[in-house]
Amino acid sequence: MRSAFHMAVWPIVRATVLEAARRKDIAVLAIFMVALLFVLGSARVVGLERPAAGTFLLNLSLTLIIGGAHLVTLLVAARQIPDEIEQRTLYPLLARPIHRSHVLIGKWLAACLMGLALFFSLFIPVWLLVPRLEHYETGTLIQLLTLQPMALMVTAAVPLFLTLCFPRGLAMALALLIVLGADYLVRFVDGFPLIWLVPNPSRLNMVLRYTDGIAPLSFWGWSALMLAALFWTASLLLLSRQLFERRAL
Amino acid sequence: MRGAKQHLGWLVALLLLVVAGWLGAHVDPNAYAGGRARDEQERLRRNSSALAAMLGEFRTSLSDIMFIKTERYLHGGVAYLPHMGDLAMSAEELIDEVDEHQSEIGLEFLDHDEEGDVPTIIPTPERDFRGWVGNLHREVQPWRDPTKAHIHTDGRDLIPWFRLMTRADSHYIRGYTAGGFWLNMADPEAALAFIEEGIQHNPQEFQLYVSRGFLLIREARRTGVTTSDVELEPEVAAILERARDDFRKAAQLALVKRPDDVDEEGFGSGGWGSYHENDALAASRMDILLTRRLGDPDLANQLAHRYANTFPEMLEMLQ
Repeated sequence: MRSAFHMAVWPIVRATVLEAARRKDIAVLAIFMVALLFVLGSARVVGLERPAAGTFLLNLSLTLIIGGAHLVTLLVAARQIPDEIEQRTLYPLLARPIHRSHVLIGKWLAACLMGLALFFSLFIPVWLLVPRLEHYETGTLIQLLTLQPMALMVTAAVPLFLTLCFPRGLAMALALLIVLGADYLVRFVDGFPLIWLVPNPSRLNMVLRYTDGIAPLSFWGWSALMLAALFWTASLLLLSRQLFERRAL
Repeated sequence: MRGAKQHLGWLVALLLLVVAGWLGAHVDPNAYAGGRARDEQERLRRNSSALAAMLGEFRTSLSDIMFIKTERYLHGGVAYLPHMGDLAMSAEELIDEVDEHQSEIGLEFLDHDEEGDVPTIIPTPERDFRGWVGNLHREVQPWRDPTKAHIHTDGRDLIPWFRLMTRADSHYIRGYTAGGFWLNMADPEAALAFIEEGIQHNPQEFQLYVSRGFLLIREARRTGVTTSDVELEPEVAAILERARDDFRKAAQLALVKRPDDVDEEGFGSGGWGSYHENDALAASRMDILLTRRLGDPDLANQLAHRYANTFPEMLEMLQ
């Protein structure tokens, strides 16, 4: 007896990833990766004259790869439902014994996997190439590596939900604002009622803490962030499901 | 039945959103004061590197970008390599620097005689291998011959930048101290409120108390006579008491934070720099002076003995 995941969700994940590959998304990622590695390799060959420059490069590289991974996740997730509806490929899909929520989960998971693949495929060379000349806390690095996948899960869920509420362009703009700027948004409009309800994947970014050499968060602090990410994702997926189920196709 | 299930779905989703928002709002991984990104000496080292010069204003930290912008603005848009002295990073020296900067320019742009020969980020024609590209770069970007004295502009225009800087990063102490001193030129009450906001976000950062102490001394001077040969008016004494409390609090916090391994130049472990040392000394000295000025010489002597355990030069203040 095969589970619903293998029967319904996994084929959608595979199809979405294959489609992204066909659309040259992976080629764009590869170019980005080669460019970053070229810069890092050059810095490694030329050498860094002071430890502070090494920390600066580490911070910059990690921020760039995290930003890149979130951007790719967002772009992949944002086009899923609108494209399926516009190109009418959703109908043959739903004609099979596949539930709408399976479609949603499959699309979300594919976007997550693409973001994760980009993050880890860039993190490893960055880790190997950037000289670490100052003291950094290993515990903080572990927290960074555990929180980032959770942040990507939130990022994949945000555009899925928004594209079910708004036209694609507006949804994309809002998703970009939330994914890349929610932390600043919360700080700048502090005091605006219910602003803290906006999902905030940037809150899970530990790069600055790591490159500043600060000790890891307490277990409870880390757990709270993991739970927050889990709840943001679950909430957005549940809201998307509610909207998608009611949507007339 | 289906309708009830639908309602339950909405309810659960909203409940999860509220719990997640609450959790996210209460844990901020970047809610710590200090760290390499915010440390002034680290910033100086970082921004002096060839890599940082190559990247121009490209930084990952918004407060860092804004600080570079403020430095450029104060030099009429010309990008110089960082050249701030270690002591100018301390709150005590910074307030004098701000005063000096403004007194030199009035409201006009003016050449500053003291600074010169600081290399610009865009090199001089003699050092530039790029030929006509370099010439074009110097034409289209603000550039000035580094052997000439710097042009300084009115720092009060920077006040909104400091507001944005501290909004973006409420643990960036330098943003509060420097912003507070510039703001003091335009609106002293707002300056005190600005530093107060910094203290609310960073209650353990002694440099903020030092900054507020110096701002209060300026307020006391505006309110009445503070020289030692006259009796203090009650209003002036009340302001000086607030300043003394701030310096005392700053000295207490600094002595707790100061590591044991501080060398002769004022550097110690845990990111303790000469500017920290300078402010810790200033806080101790001002606490003794103000305590004496406010009519309690015995306590002032006790404080001098107490602070002398860490700073032996405080014994010179015994009377």
